[in-house]
Amino acid sequence: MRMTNIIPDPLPAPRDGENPPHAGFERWYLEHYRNVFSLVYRIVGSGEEAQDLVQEVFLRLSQHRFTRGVEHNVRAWLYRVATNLAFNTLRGRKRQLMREDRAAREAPLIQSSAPDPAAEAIRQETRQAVRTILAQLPDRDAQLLLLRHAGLSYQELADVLAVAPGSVGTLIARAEAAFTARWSEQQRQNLISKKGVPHEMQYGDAAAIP
Amino acid sequence: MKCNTEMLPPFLDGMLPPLDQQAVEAHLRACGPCQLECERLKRNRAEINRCLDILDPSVEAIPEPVGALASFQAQTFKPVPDPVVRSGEALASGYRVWLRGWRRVFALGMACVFCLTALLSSASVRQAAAQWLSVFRVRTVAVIPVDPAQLEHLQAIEDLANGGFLGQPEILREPDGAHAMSNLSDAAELADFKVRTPLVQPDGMEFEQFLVEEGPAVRYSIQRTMIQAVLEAVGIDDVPLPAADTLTLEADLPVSVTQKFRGSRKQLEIRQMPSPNLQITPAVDPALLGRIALRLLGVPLADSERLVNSLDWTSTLLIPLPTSVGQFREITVDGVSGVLIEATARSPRRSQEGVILWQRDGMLYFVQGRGVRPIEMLRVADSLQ
Repeated sequence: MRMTNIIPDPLPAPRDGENPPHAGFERWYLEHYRNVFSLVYRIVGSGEEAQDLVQEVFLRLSQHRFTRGVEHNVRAWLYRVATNLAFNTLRGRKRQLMREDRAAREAPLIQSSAPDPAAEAIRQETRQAVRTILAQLPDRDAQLLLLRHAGLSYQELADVLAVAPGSVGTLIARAEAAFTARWSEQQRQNLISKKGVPHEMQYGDAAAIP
Repeated sequence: MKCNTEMLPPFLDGMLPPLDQQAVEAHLRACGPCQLECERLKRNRAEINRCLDILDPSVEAIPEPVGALASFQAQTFKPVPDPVVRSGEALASGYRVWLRGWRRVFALGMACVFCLTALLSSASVRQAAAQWLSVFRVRTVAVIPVDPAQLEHLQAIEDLANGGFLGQPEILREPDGAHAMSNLSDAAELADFKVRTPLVQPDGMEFEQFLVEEGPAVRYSIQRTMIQAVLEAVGIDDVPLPAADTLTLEADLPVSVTQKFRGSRKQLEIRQMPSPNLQITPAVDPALLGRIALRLLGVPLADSERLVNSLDWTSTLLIPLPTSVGQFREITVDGVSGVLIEATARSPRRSQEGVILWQRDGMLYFVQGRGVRPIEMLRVADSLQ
């Protein structure tokens, strides 16, 4: 579903102590906050960090001057900026170490319906593995997978990535293949190196080992 | 139709043009390998979605948007607190202008302005603390990160100052206004020192003008009893006080020359000035005052002691930097050791702000940029000649 907002005036760039952006901005904030947060959280895995990044995303929105009188897909804009910022944050070793530290200390913001600590630990490891793979993929591939999962249409994906709509299908195919290849490799290594329940079993027979 | 497996994912999404969609359907009916491939893709896709699903935060763990918006607005539009210029002070307007210029240079909050011009402005003890650092001749610059929560405790001291209990500085020489010039030799003549200019012009910016300003000369006296009152006001009672009944501080801020560059959405300023002249009478162990200052800034006891012993208080310019405002790094610039202070990424400022400062051969240098990357600022700073 495409969200369009026609902006009556360009958003003013705020200076210290000056009036905040107009009411339209607040509407956008409230409308998109949760989704943007979830998207960022999937990438960085830390609630604290996600909160900071989301504020940064909306700060940039408040300063961005959209062209007057043209329809704008604010959701796509937000998602693009959010994923870029989140991936940028992932780079940098120091931050990676700090994040792992922090994630280890922070209770995951995940609903654990089963109070089973062993299962939860495995889930947490799996999350980490998925994030690692996403981080290893080329940015565009990871963005594609995440944004499609977040519900953007092919047209929106084309807008976000600045590619021809016709090529989105191919790009998705390649991104999926890239993810799957690494994921299967991961699974295979886990089977070999770990005792205990193989991960595939948790997810049915979905692991596609070529 | 040949097997083109790259069309399968958009086919599964129903995103192919209608003709192609039908063509692929027809092909699949007839082609076993492609059917298998289709199944495989479906499984992969399901797996990927499962993987991405487990990354989701739970619904109740997502912050409430209304609360997040409130905090966003509070963060973004709070006017930057002004530690130096205070209302109700009887200061010459020229001095104010000069001071405001400084404040813009260190808009990151505090930094050198704190220490230098704090000597000249009101009797807020937070500033007086910086005064007591008795910097005689700046040779090195040291940054102290300050827990922002600590600064609120100093409100009690500000109240004391506002109530007039801490006296007023005496202005020995009024600052004159800023003189704008476009010409290096005129500026150097007025300033009466060699003005260094960058060999490297900052990218995408044009030279605007030279600004030559003379700072004020100020004297400020404080009684021992006042110091005591102040320390008590913030609950510090374990710090030795100087022996003298009255301490008098005299500061002389000399002429500074600022070179301004401007580009589209960016600014750069290079300011240089001879190290200010500061004197405290009667002579007092600067480490003593340094300890008081550190404690007032909220540096914990153990750390204060360590710092007091390791800094050369007669030649170090101490810069308190609230951690919420910025971060600093020690860097090598212009062949000496200096600091780079950058505004915290999520500060109220919209564009990247930073300042590089260092001391060399008796001159203090400040290179401040807005919308300019630190590496670029460093390039310019290193090219001064």
